[in-house]
Amino acid sequence: MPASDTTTAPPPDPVRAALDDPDLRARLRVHAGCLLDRWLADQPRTRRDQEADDAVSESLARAWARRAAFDPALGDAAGWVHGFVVRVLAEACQRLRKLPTQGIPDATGLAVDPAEFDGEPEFDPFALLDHLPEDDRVAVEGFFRLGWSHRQIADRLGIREGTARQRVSRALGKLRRIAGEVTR
Amino acid sequence: MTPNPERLRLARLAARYLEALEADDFVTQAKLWKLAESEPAVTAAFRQVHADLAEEQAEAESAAAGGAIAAMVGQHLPSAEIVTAAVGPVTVADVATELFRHPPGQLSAAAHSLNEKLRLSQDPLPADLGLSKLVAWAEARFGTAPAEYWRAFRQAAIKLELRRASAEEYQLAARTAPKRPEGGA
Repeated sequence: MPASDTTTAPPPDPVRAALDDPDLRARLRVHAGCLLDRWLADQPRTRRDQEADDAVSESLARAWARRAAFDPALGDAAGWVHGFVVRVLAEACQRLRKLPTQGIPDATGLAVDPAEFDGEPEFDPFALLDHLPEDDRVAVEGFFRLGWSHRQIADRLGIREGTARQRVSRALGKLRRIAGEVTR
Repeated sequence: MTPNPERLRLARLAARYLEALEADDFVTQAKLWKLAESEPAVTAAFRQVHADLAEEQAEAESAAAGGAIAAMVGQHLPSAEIVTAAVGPVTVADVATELFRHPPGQLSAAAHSLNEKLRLSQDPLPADLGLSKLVAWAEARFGTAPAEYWRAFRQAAIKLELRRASAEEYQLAARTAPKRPEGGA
């Protein structure tokens, strides 16, 4: 009879692996920082950094406490942890900006119908281009119709690549709102 | 070209996410992150939104700090001129600002008024700075002005073009020289 292996390695814990990942921590820090920098724009950098560090620590602690609720079959632990940051930031926003509670459902039990975002009424971005300022029009046409990269849009408009990405996003947002008004 | 549907979808989701972030709409943010859990490409797109926002805010802060310093210098050292590294072509506003700082004598009130208007124009100067062509180009855009104003404008434009070209040459000359290999002659 072959000898049985009495010691077996514990199954890998995706939540622990995610929480131990320094790259994820850095990305969570950017997530928290980009909002806290805006909310606390009049505060010293040290205060904003402290708030962002606290928000990340609190999010990691909550994710660890709720790790049993994570289902690896449904998705990625890193994205799941970002959900905790959203919740912690919502509370921070309420505290720092004295805003009303938004009643966010528990991230672990939040059910999302993909159709809410993917199935929104389609609009043709090109049909409404005339409503946009010139630079927004160049960004949307270049990105979607001509297949330009954000780098190419940035070079064309004389802006940074990140600004080009945001210009495309903000222009799409404007078109979505305009489309809503047109079809209403 | 037909838009790539996946590219369009990712861009739309990133746009919705940016909108939710800027509106402090946490319910939508939470829903979008729930959606992103099962799609690494969406996660990456949302993280890029964070990074771009952070970069934008850092730049705005830096510009605000620079503006505050410039305002202090302007207030306490009125005779000082703040020289900033110039990028891109010389614009009409650059030339008008130069004329504002160093006004030639004998300019009429109308010329000063036009100069104030030109300080807001980001149009690049035309390639040909010959007086007659420059006047035709400028008057088609900004209206008529006394001949002495356009002469002063042209002189300032040439001065700034030369200064810009000289700065670019200096940047080229001042770049770091490549290191010689060890033991090389």
